[in-house]
Amino acid sequence: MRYVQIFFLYFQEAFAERGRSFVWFLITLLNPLLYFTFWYAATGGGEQTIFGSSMQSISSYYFLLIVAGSMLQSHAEENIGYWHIYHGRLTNYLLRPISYYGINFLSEIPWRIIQGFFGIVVFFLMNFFFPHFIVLTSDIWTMILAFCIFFLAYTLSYAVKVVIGVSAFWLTDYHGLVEIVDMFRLIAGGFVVPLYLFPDWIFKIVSFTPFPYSMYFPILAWQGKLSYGELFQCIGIQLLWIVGFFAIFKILWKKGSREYTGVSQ
Amino acid sequence: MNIPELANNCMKHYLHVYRKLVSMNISSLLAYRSAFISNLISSTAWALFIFISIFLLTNKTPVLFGWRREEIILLSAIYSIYYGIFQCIFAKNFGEMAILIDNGEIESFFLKPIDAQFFTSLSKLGITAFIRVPIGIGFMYFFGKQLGISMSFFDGALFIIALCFSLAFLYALWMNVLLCLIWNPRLSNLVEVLFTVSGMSRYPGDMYRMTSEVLMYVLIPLTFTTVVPARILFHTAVWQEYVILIGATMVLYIVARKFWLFAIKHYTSASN
Repeated sequence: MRYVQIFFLYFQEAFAERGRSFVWFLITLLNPLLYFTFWYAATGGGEQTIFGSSMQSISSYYFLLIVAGSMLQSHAEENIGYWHIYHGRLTNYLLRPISYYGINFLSEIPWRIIQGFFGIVVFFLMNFFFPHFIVLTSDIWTMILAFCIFFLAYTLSYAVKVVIGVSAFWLTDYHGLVEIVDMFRLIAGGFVVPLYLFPDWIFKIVSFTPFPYSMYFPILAWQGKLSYGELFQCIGIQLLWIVGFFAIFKILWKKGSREYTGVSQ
Repeated sequence: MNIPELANNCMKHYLHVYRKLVSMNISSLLAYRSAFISNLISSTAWALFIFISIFLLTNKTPVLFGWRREEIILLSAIYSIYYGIFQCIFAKNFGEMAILIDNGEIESFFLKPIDAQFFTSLSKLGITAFIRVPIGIGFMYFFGKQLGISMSFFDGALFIIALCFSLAFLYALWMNVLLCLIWNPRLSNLVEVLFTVSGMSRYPGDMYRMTSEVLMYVLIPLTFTTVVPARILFHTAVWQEYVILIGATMVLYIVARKFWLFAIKHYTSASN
């Protein structure tokens, strides 16, 4: 019950800042639209295929990326690394009888729900104006599994970002690390180009990172491009990554909280 | 004292102030060395990201919208150069301006015995972002060579003039948008949207032309910030494009100045 109350308090805060949320959402909106425009123009208005993929498949991918980008990207590292550790506000959280991992997880969800709402509205608008450009799965079991993959994708994104955030215990300025990870995340997560358009050897390499499982595969799941076996395999790999990053967080947290001085930098 | 002499003295004064600001920024950079290294890494990463993303997009297509793959990469290189300069000189100030308006602290800039717009726009330098310029020049040299581009002294001068107009265009665009924060201070994250919008200029205008007319008219002046310098290199420049870039820059700049004077009259200093 305590965590539900905390969640609603954070939701009130996020809702009060809905204008700011909308501006954040614009960033998530503009990039997929830009890439969609690129492919639309490159295929002469969707007339040709792109290396065997139809424009319908590509456009569905980018329209779903708008929803996924606004819902599944955690920014926990900014709160943890900058506001809590760098500015010395972590002390308040250390004194509270609640899980630090859990409270940050809850504080982020309302922002994702509000921005995701904007994403869904835009997706339906796109569906209305470009109905022949969107294809989604109609199989109910695929939808249920895709929903699970969506939730796990957010949890995985959060798990990765928390580990980056706690690196601020040792790094005076951790922004360099954040930017490098973000760059890899954008490429390996399929933000620029769907990974199936990558050369095979690059696709194999990025498959060994957690990034495709927090963005690319959830989109493919909603597109209905994954078989049941692949959907379960995706869930399994997501769970493995989440557990792995949680274990790393535990180790770093144990060592880092001993290093923490509470002095703002 | 006659008007030209007064203008000369005024210019000297501002140059002197700017020199001081540059030296203060360098001192601050040297004092926080870990922040310097961290920022340098992130600037390099994002500079490379631009090229990696364009390589991935043009991976298997030799010609797009009438542009060869190498020409599109060259556009990205030009974008990297002028955007690196923009980030070095202006971007950090715009970020700071948004935060100061949000916190209700920008009035401290109005009290200085110097033009407030000058001081707000130029007091901070993002020196590490300058790394984008040599990276851009490197790619421009490599792909320019592949395309067999030769550049005379006159072309070089025209290229630099076009880049200056591109910079002024981007500055005026950012200023016009961010001044709206005076009425909506909490939307300080508009800066991040502007980073994304500015990135749209690294694609050929023909791409937007093929999609929608509305999009085309909104984005074409922005794409000219990279396309016009590129066409100078390709020796395919047309005077209409120069006129649009110069005209749009001048109009936007005059609007930015007028809007600045108007906006600061409405600044309430109410903090969030």
